Amino acid sequence: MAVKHGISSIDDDRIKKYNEILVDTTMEIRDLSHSLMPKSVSKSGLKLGLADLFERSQEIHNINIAYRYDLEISLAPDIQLNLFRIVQELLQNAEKHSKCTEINCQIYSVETMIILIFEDNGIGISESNSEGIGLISIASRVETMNGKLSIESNENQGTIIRIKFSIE
Amino acid sequence: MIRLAVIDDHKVVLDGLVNLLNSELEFSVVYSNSNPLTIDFSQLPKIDVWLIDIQMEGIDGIELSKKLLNLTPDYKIIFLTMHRDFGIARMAKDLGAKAYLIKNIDKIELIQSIKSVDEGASLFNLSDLNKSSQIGDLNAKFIINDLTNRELEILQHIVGGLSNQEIGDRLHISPRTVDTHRTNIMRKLQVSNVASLVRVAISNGIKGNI
Repeated sequence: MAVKHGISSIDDDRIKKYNEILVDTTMEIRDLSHSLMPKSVSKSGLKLGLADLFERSQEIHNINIAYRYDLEISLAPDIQLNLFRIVQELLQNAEKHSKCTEINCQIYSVETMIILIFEDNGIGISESNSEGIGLISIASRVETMNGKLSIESNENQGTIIRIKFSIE
Repeated sequence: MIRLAVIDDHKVVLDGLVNLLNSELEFSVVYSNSNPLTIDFSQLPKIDVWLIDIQMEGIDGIELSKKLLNLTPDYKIIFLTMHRDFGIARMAKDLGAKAYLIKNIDKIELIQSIKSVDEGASLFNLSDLNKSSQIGDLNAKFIINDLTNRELEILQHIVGGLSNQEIGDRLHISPRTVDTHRTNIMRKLQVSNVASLVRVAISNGIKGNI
């Protein structure tokens, strides 16, 4: 068999397999890490946890981030975690793919509805990359909160992501 | 004797300030007006220090001050405002005003501040102010009055967290039309992104429609 396939083909198969294992492992680590409460949030809450996240990001990337958190009520810990992970994912997406120079993130409430707006001025999300793992995990988090996710994006006109859920 | 002018579109506040300041031996209020649009710049008495509110009907304190300083660069202008806003304070400082005071200060502080400014001091305690706000909010209130009913309706939906598509569905118009309205609203309110639009709308009392 080995002779038939030739050495390079066996190597290819192996590389493929290792690669799959690697991808699986990475995803599992990622899933695991995402289920843990980040220290900054457990210690000082979502508002400051996000401020911390944005500040760190600004130090590394050349992106201007405006952030506003306008909630009087304090959210349940699982919701705080969900929102933190969602924003973290959105931020990573924007940093990695959007080529944006500005991000505007706003969390506020209208009556019992919590609204998150995450907006960047990048290249927008195209049909081909909208199914990425990041957005899927965001969508599933939104679903667990019985929330709604909307993505508004046009080529080279930035992206507006809105997440809404009721806290009643 | 320090000659003062006081401008505030709230009549009661204006009267209170004038009384309070006139009760000081060193002060004389030589001019006061609750309708800044009616100020006759050619008929002003000699004035050392102006005490001006920022948010007023017709013309805001910032614009008024620009006019005054154009006319008489020696005027010492103090803003007395409710806006705890870094951006506005910055704008005030840049245009050449001498102090930015928040309306919750007490009588003694106010009097002391006026005296200091008259002697040449500049009082901007910018670190006390809210840095997250931006220049541009100030005039939004007036401009919100300029929105058409349709624009206001759409703005309420935007504050409620609806996308162009969702707004279009509700109002039975195309998302593209909604987008055109949104672009017009943003231009009128002088903001460059939707998140800022929401912030300005909320800070001006627009209620979200969810």
